[in-house]
Parts: sequence; structure tokens; C-alpha cells
Amino acid sequence: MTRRQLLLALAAPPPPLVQLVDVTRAAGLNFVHHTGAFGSRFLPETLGPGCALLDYDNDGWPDILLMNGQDWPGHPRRAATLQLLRNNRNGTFTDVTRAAGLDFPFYGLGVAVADFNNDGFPDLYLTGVGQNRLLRNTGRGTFEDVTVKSGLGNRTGFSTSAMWFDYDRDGHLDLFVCNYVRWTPSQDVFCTLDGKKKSYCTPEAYRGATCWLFRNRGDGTFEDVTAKSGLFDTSSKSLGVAMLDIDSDGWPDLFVANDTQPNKLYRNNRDGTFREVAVRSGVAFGEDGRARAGMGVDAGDFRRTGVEGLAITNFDNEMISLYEGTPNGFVDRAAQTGIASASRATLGFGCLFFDADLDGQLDLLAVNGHIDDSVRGRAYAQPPHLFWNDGAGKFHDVSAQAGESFAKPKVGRGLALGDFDRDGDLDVLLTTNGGPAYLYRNDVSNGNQSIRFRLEGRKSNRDGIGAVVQIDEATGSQTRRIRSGSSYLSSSTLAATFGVGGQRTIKRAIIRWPSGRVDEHANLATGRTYHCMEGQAPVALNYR
Amino acid sequence: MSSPTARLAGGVVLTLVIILAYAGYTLNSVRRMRQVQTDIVDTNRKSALQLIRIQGDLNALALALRDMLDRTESYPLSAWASQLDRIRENLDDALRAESRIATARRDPQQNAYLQASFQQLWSAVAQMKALAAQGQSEETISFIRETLEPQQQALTSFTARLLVQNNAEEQRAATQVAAIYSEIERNAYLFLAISLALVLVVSLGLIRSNRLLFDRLASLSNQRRELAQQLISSQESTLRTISRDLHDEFGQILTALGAMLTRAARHAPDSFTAELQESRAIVQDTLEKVRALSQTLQPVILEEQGLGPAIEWHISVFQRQTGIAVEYHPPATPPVMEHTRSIHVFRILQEALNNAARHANVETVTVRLINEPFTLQVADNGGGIDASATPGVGLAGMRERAELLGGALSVVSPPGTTITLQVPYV
Repeated sequence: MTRRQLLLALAAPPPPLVQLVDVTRAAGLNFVHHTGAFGSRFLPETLGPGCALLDYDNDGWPDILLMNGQDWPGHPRRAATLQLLRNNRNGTFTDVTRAAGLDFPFYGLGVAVADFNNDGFPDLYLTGVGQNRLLRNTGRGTFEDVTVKSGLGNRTGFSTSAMWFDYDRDGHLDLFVCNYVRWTPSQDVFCTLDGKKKSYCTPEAYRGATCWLFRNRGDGTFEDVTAKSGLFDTSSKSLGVAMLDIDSDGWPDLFVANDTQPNKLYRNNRDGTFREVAVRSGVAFGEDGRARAGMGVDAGDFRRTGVEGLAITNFDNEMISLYEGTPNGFVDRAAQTGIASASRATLGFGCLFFDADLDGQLDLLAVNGHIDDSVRGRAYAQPPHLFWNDGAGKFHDVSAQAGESFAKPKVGRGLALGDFDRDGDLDVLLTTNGGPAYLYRNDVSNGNQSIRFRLEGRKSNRDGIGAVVQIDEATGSQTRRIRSGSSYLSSSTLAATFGVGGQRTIKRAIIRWPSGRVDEHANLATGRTYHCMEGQAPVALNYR
Repeated sequence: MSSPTARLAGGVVLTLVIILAYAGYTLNSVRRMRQVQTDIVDTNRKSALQLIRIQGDLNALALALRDMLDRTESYPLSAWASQLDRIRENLDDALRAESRIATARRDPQQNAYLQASFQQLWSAVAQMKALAAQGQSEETISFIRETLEPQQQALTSFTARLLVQNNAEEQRAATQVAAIYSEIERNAYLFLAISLALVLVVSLGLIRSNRLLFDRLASLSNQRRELAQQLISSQESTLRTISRDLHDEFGQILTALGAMLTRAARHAPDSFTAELQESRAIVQDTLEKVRALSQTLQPVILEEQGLGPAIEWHISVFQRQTGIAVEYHPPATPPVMEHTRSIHVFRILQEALNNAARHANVETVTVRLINEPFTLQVADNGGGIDASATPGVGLAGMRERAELLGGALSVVSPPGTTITLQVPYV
């Protein structure tokens, strides 16, 4: 070993002791995404599916929801519906789709999960081609389609990601829905790479479509406030959405990732309206001044400054954007952190910040895959990125060390996180376009501990969405926002999970509720979940 | 002959002045180019970027108006208000940025037209929004078709014209820059030519000066050699005369004096006999010394028997006179050399041995004589020659004689002193 090699080896951070073990087969997941493709290469075929980790039966064990496409009209190939898989609490899952009443025909893409009616059970908003669906959880293991009843019917589109958030802080979750482009099978455009065979079109071939914002009236119905709130915009071609608070005023702001169009950043004016500030904040365009192909997005305090940054997956050659929040707007740190060069050749979709190895630093997971299997010079299936945050300003792609199956190239799309085995770390659910869904069990073997907060709002929305949990440790503070949306077409469990390294207790946890209330809880032992009701002392629960 | 230093220094100064002048000219040209690039090219590029941004926003406006006219969205026309506001905000920002960059260089009429056109456009947009807010869809659509779209299109065309104008200005700037480059290139060639000519002139001057200098040196060297030759010839002639006079005149006188003293002793009383015999012995001794001196000054043996025996004779005399042992290594066959040349070899040997006896604390001297090439080497084991001492006349004389022989003399010291004479041919 030369002196230079020795110095580099000494300077390099230790690899994280995290293994993402493929338990797809063992868990009983046999899902295969059906795009409905029959040769016409319709644009929606390239986008799905999304997925969710949710506890639909409220038993404390995360279940799985996998979105699915279906046959195109006039081209029957095989029956396909979304899948709901109940956690058997032993590492396996049981398909309960039919029993839950979810085996209806639907060309689905994304899913947003939250308790919109504050009844204690997570409800579903399914997006796709045509009419989106709002499914109320009855609390008896079934779902009721309340789309029309809630006022969300009679509205067709090509919807992608959706997000529940309480933009007016009235205690009722409102709904933001991304729409991609104006497309129907009859409006399909012939695009080609070789002048002969049809290829999948890029979104430039179609008109944009406005996103939607629905205000929850609190009586089970919604009001379309898209125009009134100032979010109406027919130029956008939106795929991802994330909630954050750019001005730390406690009012949720919105970031929308647009494909080939400038991204949008809507600042909440606290009066039911939003002001678009993406250009002046530096997140509308790439460093070269051109709009990128934004796909997935997540917001997180990855620098542990208490200010949320953004990660956005883009097309290949555009690299992942990693924006650090500063008082003067956002600055793209992808190049300095090492994320840019590592993601140059990949086309990313789902992306989420999470502390994979529970060392107290937010890592970044992104799944990749091309949209067109006929494109030359780029692989269709691409390996995911697991960027390990070394806490010193660099992110290292450690996907190759995280497990052979995990590192294998895939046509990745959806990505969700949740602790399905309740061992304290977050496990990974990802979907592939036209392929299987994968469940990876996170096996942290470095002895690091975690602490988790499951919120229950009383004045705030029951899920506590929008609340910020801060923990103070000897080494500093960490913050997490309870968030819906983020990633791409997908929903993760809502509880906030913090990695705390080897610490057995934390000094303090502060919860800032959307209602404005601030709860403080001192001296909490790590290695367990705390059920925190707004304004009440937390109840400690063991992970298992 | 005058020294060339002043002329050469003048040439160097002139060359430096020209180089400095050219460097100044080049720097000035680069400054001019930078000025042109900053003033025109960079400004044009920034302006073009803002104009493209304005075009993009006008295009976004056109698309929004198209969407409004198509009525494919289920929203009322008033829903577009926020989208139009955003487009205006961005357009205003771009216009402000563009005007900061380009207004000073643009025709004031164009600036006025641009401002007035946008004012009209926003006024029309406000009107349209008011109609839409009142729910007057048909009127709104008519207004868009008849007023807004033509205004938007006119502005798009005007922006395109400004971009074309920008391009033309950029091309003019590019031409200007190209002209500066050509001028620099032309002047670079000129500078090169002048520099080459100057270098040529200075070099030729240097060559000529050197040549004259060398000729002069050669002439001086010849004169010196001739002078040395004459001096040495004169010296030899003088020595010959003195030697002959000593031998012939003083020898005969002393011989006669001796004979007379012998005769006088025969006739003188016994009381004088002892003094007379003593006087005769002094005369005899003086006679021998005179003969020996005569022989040393002009050895007859050299003339009669040649160089080899002369060297051997002189070595024996030297040993006897100085008490210094001499190791002599003669060649296998005695050297054959013309008398006039051999006298120089002999004198060099004499001087070398004298030096050994005079200057160094010498115990033995080695003399080596080689025929092919003719080499005479005299080496002693003394303290050597003091490097700091001024070279003596004897050494200079030896060198002169070596040159007259067409050979070379080398002196190596310390350790000891080794004097070598080498003559390429005898």
C-alpha cells in the first residue's frame, strides 16, 4: 500500500454497517406491475407504480399497498388490480385486496395515505389515469369509495403524486394532487427515435395540466381551491410534491417537481393563498439555467441545521439536485457532496431522506430506471443509490455494499419507508415499472439505537402531518417533519424515526404541532416508540 | 581600433526598446479587445439571455391564452389570474434586468416602444381579468382573441427583432474583435521582421568586430613572435660573441699571462717563486673558469656533437656545480636536430634545471628525452611553483623558444614541477 493509498484509506469514512436484505419472496410478495402495454407505447405506461407502507388496520404493524395499472380499453391482456397486503406480524404478508374492497378496475399510479376525516384510520387517495379515487377506511378492514360523495368526482386527469397536508391549519387535512400532462389514449402523439417504430414520448409532446388543491371542509367533503389559492397553473407537468417550511413561519409551503418545466415553490401566504417563489429561491431551474426533468422529491434537515433542504431526482445527465436551505434561498450542493457525479448516469424517481444506519445523519435513498427500453446508450434497468451521509458534508453511494439484491439494476419507480418488522430501523419498499415490487429488511448491525415518535393530533389534524419533531442530544439537534407526499407516487409511514447512535437517552424532544402548540418531553429513553398525543405526556411503547 | 561594446550595448538597448514597445502595444490591444468584449459581447449575451427569458415568458403567456381559449380545463377563466400574475412578475423582472443592461445602447424609440407596449399589454390583461372575474366568458374570449393575442404576438415579434438586432451587434463586435486580432497579427509579423533585421545587423556587426579583433590579435601575435625570435637570436649572437671573446681573447691573455709567470718564476729569486707559482695557479684557475663559462654560454659540444651529447655534458656539469642528482633517460637513438633549433632545446633544458636548482628544495631531477614525438621532460621533486607568484622571465623565455620550435611547453606543478616540451616534428 502506498502512502497516498494509506492516507486515503485513513481519510475515508467507515462504511455503514447496514444491510438491506431482500425479503420479498419470504414475505410473500408476488406482485408484478401491469403497465397495460400492448405496443402503442402510451405515456402512462412508463410512470408507475407507486406504493405505500401504511397501517390500514391500526394494529401497529405496517401493511403494504402496491399500485397497479390495467389493460387499456380494447386491449385485454390480463386482469390486474392494486394489492393490499396485511402484515402478519411474523415477516409475512397476506393479500387482503379483495376483502378490503380494493379489487376494482383502475389505471392507478400513485397513492397518498392519511386520516383525512380524523377517525383514527388511514384513508387512501389513489391517483392515475382518469378519475382519481378517495377511499375512506371504514375501520373494519375495508374501504369505501367516497370520491363522489366528497366532492372529488367528475374530474379526470393524468394524476401522479398526491399529498395530504393542512395548508390552512384548521385541523383538517387538505389534499394536493399533481397532474402531469393532458393525455388520453385518443390524444396520444406518435413519437419515434428511429423514424419508424413508436417510442415513448417525452412530456414536451403534450400540454401541461394544472395541479389541484382541495380544501377539507371537515365534514367529509372538499372544496376545489386550486384557483382561489393561486396554485392554478396549466404550464406545469408535475410528478412529485413535498411539504416544507421555507420561512420557518409554521405554515406549510409546497415544492412541486416538474418534468421539463420549471419546478414550483409555493410559499404559504397564511391566508389560504400561495405565492410562487421558485425562481428567486433558486430551485426552478438547474445550474445551467434550464428546466430539468424533475421526478421525485423529498425535504429533510440533512445538515442538522434545523432548516429543510430538498432532494430532487431528475433525468439522466441532469443529476440529482440536492438543495441546501439558506437564509437567501436554496443552493445546489449536489456537486460538493458527491451526489452529482454519482447520479449523472441514472434517471431517478422515488427518493427519500432517512437515517439508514441510525447514526444521527439523514442519508438519501433514490431508485432509478429509464423510461424507455429502446433508448440507446443508457441502461433501462439501473441500480438504486443509497447515499450515506458522513456528517462532514459528503454523501457516499454505498448501495453496492448494502446487499446484492438491493444493488441489482431495476426499473425503479415508487419508494416507501416503514418499519414492517418493528425492530427500530426503517425498511424499504420499492416498485419497478412492469416488474416486481421489492421489500428490503434493514438490518443495522452497528448497535445504533433509534427513537420514534407517533403523533396524534387533537386540535391539529389527527395524523400530526406538518408537525415538526426536534430531539436534543449531547451531539446537537435533529428535526423531522411528519409528512405525507414526498418520494414519487408513494406514501411512507408517518411516524418520525431518529437514529441516535449509541445513546440510551435523549435530553429532550420538542413537538411543534400545526395548531401552534409546542410540547416538550424531557429525558426519553431510546430504543422505543413514543405515542405522543397533542398536549399530553408521551406513552412509551416497545418496538416489539 | 575602437571597442564594439558601445555599439553592441546600443543594439541591445534598441532591441529592448522595441520589445517593450511591442509588449505595450499588445497589452493595449488586449485591453481594447477586453473592452469591446465587455462592452458589447458580454452585454449582448446578457441582454440576449434576458430577451430569451422575455420570449419564454411571452410564449408562456401565449400558451396560457391558448388554454383559456380552448376551454379544456374545467375551471372558470378567472382561474388563470394567478398564472398570469406569475408570468407578469417574471416578465417584469426580466424586463428590468434587460433594461439595466441594454437600454443605454438601444435606440430610445425602441425603449419607449417596448415600455409602452408592455404597459398596454398589462393594461389589457387587467381588463381581461376583470371581465373573467365578472364571469363574462364570451367577452373575455373575444377580448383575448381581438386584443390580447395580437398584442402578445406583436411583442413576441418585437422581442425577436431585438434579438436579431442583438445578434447583428454581436456580429459587429465579433468583426471588430477580428479586426483587432488581424492588426495584432500583422504587427506581430512586423515586429518579428524588425527584430530579425535588428538581430541580423547586430550579429553581422558582432561578427565583423570579432573578425577585426582576431585579425589584430593574430598580427600582434606574429609581431610578438618575430620580436621574440629577434630577441632570442640577438641573445644567442651576444652569447656566442661573449663566449668567443672569453675563449679567444681572455683565454689567450690568461694563457700568455700564465706562460709569462712561468718564465718569470724561472728567473726570479727564490723568495718570489712561491708567490709567482701561486699567481700562476690563480691565472690557471681563472682560465679554466673562463673556458667553462665560455663553454656554458655557447657549448661547442652542441655544435660539434649534437643535442644528445650536449645534454649529457650539461647534466654532468649541473650535477657537479649544484650537487643535485639528475636521472637522465635518453632515447634509444640520439636525437637529430638542426643546430639552430637544438640550441632552443638546450636553452630550455638549461633554464628548467636552473629553475629546479634556484626555486625549489630539490634533491633529484629527472630528465627524459623522447624522439617520437620529440619530447623533453624535466621533473623535480621539489616544493613546486608558487601559484600566487608572478611568472618569471625564465618561464616566458622557455615558452617563446617552444613557440619558435613550433611546439608547446607545459608546466605542471605541484607536486614537484614537471616541465614538458613537445615538438610535433623535429
